[in-house]
Amino acid sequence: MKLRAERRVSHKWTALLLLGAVLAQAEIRVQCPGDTDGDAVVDQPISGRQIKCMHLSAGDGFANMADGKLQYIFSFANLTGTPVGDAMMAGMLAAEFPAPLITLKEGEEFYLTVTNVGMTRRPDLFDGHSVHFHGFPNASAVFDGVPDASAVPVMAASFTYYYNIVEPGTYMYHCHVEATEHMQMGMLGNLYVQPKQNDLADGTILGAHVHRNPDGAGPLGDRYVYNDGDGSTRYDVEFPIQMSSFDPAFHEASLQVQPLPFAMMRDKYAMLNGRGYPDTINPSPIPNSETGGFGQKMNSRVSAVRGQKILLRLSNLSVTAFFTLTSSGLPMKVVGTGARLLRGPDGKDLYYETNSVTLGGGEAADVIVDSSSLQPGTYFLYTSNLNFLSNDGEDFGGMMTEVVIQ
Amino acid sequence: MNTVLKVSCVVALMAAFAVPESAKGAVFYLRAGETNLAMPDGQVIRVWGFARDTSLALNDGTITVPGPALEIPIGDPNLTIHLKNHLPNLNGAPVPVSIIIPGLTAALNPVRHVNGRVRSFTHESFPGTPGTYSWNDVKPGTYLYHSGTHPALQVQMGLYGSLTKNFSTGEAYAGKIFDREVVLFYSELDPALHSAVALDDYGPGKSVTSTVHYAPKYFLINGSPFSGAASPLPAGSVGEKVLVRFYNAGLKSHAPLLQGAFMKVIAEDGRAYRYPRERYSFLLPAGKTMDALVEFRSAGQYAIYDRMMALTTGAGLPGGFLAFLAVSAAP
Amino acid sequence: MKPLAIVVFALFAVSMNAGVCEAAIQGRTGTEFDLVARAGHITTGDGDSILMWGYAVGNGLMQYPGPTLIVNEGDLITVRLKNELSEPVSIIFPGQDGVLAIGGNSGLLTREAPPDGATVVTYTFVASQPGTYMYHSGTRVDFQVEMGLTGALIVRPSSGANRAYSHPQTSFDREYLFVLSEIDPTIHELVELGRRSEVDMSRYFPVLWFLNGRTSPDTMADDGAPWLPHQPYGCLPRLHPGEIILTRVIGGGRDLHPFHPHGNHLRIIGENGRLLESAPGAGPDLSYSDFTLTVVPGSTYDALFTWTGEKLGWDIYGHGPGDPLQPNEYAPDHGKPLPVQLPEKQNLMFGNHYSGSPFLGAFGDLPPGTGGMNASGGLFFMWHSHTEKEIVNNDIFPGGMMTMLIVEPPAVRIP
Repeated sequence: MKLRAERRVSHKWTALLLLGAVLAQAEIRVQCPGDTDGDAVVDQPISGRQIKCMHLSAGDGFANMADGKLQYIFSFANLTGTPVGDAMMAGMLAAEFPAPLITLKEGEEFYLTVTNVGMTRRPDLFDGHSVHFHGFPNASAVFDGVPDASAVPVMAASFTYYYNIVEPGTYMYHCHVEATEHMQMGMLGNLYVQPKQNDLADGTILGAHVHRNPDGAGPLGDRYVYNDGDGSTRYDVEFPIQMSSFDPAFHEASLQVQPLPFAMMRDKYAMLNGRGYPDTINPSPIPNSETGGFGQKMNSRVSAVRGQKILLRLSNLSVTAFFTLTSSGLPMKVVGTGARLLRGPDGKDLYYETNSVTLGGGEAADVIVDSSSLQPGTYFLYTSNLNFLSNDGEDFGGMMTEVVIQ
Repeated sequence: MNTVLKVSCVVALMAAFAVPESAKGAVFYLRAGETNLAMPDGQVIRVWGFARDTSLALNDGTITVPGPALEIPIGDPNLTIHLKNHLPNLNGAPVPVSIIIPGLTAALNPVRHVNGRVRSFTHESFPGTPGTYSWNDVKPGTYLYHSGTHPALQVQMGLYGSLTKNFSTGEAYAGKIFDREVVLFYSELDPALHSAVALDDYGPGKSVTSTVHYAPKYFLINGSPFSGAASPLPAGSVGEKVLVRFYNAGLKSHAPLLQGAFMKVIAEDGRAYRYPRERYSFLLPAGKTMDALVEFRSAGQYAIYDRMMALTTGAGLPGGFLAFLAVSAAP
Repeated sequence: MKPLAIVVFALFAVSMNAGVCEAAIQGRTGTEFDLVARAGHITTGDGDSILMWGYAVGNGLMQYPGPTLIVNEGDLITVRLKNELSEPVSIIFPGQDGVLAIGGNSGLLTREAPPDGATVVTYTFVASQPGTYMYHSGTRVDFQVEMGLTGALIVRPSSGANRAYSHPQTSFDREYLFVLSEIDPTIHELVELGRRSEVDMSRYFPVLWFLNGRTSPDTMADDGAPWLPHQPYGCLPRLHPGEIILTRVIGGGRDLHPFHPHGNHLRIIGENGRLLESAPGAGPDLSYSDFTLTVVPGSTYDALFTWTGEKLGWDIYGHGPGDPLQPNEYAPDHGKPLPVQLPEKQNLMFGNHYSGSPFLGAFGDLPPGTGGMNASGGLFFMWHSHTEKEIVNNDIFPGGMMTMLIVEPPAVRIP
């Protein structure tokens, strides 16, 4: 263990020295109005503006699959709250899978700083990194994260993206540099935006629904998926669930500095929020067996009290496959797709009921499960592409989680 | 492991005796067992399937793939399935089996391995110990039933079938009237898995340890791949409303395409759409059912084929997911 | 970025600046079409040359996809087919009913042209409803569509030009076609080696992905680019802010593709050649918006797309408060500065489609050797399959099912 720890440190210092030599002028800088000390936390709110800041590192790390297999990954880690001077050391080998959850509110101005901390275990790589806020409407090119059409930060440099948040819904984010490689390697995360309708005054009439907001959009108030005008997207508990999949041969080739198998890519681990079953229901962060870091922070266990409406914010960021997520008898109502309320231009209600949702990479759906007809007990959310109920060669795993109704 | 088995048997028995037989509505006696399917290329595949018997005591049904089509009487929300297990042992132990209907809500009694992982979504039936499965809110619609135990293996092996209930006679859902009904039940076979199971070579430490390498070679409509010998499915006559019920019990998505006519797609997973869509083709994901209404405007044979091109049988022979609907002239 | 990709993109840069882009969908108009099934080789972004079978116009070259047939609602359409290949072929028209086939030999799905180069099969039908459709071989559909025997069919409404359907709410300023497909080159190699009988379609494993028959970066080259004689159709959508483009998307292959338009949502108004309406004449009242379109093979989609850059919270033109508004500019953001400072150049890697400035129509200072593929100061948005494995050409990234949409400054002319 001691040896391993020393190697880790030496890797980090090697990387830092390399960076120092090559990129002497690069600059790590957090831009966040109202933040006085560079940690991406607003210290002095600015009147009349709702400012939200985050600081992410982009680099490498490790994650363990549900069968124990160690995977080398690229991804983001959350440096929000970390002093800017510590960002490089804190971000190295700290990649989280999935990438840190981003939750936003309509009306916020989102300042997202990404610092490229380099790939410690791949010092031969000088890749840039970016954030693509997938689905952002009326996007600009400069903040779209596509390296061909913008500029992205080099190692030991930062880039601050600015997003004026105007459309609620379920989005996702990922790195768009060398997209096939960086996304297969794990630079994928959940992102959603809550609507202004949550902030309406207590007692506001929304069609047949009376909005409750006794504590200022706190836990006692009603929450909605969209500004529906009638309360039809109200929910009690929400769960972002992102589908993804890994090809272990690709990750191994990356770690061993071998040619990457793009054409032969065949994913063997199908996951929800970066874990296969039964890790999906493990409530704790999972440490990886290489560095001991807790990079797999999200579970996808769904729980609710009978009678509650459960919002499933479903998305898929697999780079190889569509997946169908089905349920054992949960009544699913799809109220939104692609971060838009499912309504026609003149307001026709296009919601539909189903038992499964099929999503390709870059697709999202908002599904409400009304648990009032369910007996207390355990139900299942799983892929009906049943061969992916596997963690590679291990049975009884894969893309599945449990839904517990109390 | 023994503890788990005992618990599941108790649960099954409790479920069986909880409600008097007379109050249960539709009652079916199914039996899971082995049989062989002959493919048009001469291959014989060992499969698992369901038979419908007339009682628990009799084994007078025939094991088929897909399993028997179960029809629930109009207006009856209750369904009971008694399940006997005649599956062969694997790894020297009995193979448990169960039934779930993913599109219908019912309380589940999951069974877990000793390591905590769920191996069955609901209580299991064992050889000599039948299980009873009940639903009390069967809504009109088109549903799949299949094994809820080790579904990655058992659904592939053939343990699936269809279940339907009409809103009223000749009315699938409220206002969705039909004169004729056509069933297109799609499923897939990967002979490598069936061979491993037949040789008791599936499981931890065996040559096949999971289903991740799934590669189906046979694509069955209503239990058999298309071959030149297949006769067209009768689909009524010109001007009639034909209800086509689509089921996908395969593990992959498909896209049935009706050549020469449009369908009104009216429901998925037993839930009617508010606004049906007019389409000649649609996505039929794994595990889903879809209902469509067609009114043919001229007599003839209409091809319906998988546009995701599962149009082969075995090692590349033409066949697979292709069927013809025969429409006769208006009477 | 890999060295080969840089070379390929550099080649493209030269071509794009030299050529003229066409906003209209290229194809054949009329009511009668003479098609010949013949073989030829296409080129792919990894430098490969692949044998394809395709529908050629008369004595013309095999092309992939086949000629886009552009017809008018209500016309009686006649398509005559001859076959210079080595096995029988045919044409079927999904979404058309009452297709009459005469001549040739009877086949499983329709009448077929034998491989004699002479026999004519004639298909006739009335293009009764406007919309986007496709046609493809009805003979060994899985194999022959893979070989390239497929093409687009567009039926224009009789109600007027620049509409997708009869209803005025389907109007557009420009239109673009996106035929999505993929191939497994091992099948084509077997055919080329005369080992057709060894082809096993159940082992299908694609490694090349196409838009309009081209892999990226060729997707962005001109229609009719001389070095792509068998792949005449480009795929480079362009628009000015506020214009509406109609995207006609066709699932031409056999796999599902999640088609992701960067820049803004698509509003899907039609599917399978039918307007998404609750009743005849209602207009697209069942249309829906999404940021990624599930493209099902065999299905077609008509979607509207527009972009203004509204509500970004800063002026996309980089105006000062006193500057005049641009056409369709979102006025509340006028004159608002960029809320963040972009890093100094030494902190950044620059894309070749980046003008060096975040502002539409502006250029910035770029390091030597970067940029260069953005002649107008336009904003480039990637349109691609979000199954990101499909934006490679075999083992080479980038490529495949990917192109760019360009938002051009108002002053730049789009043909």
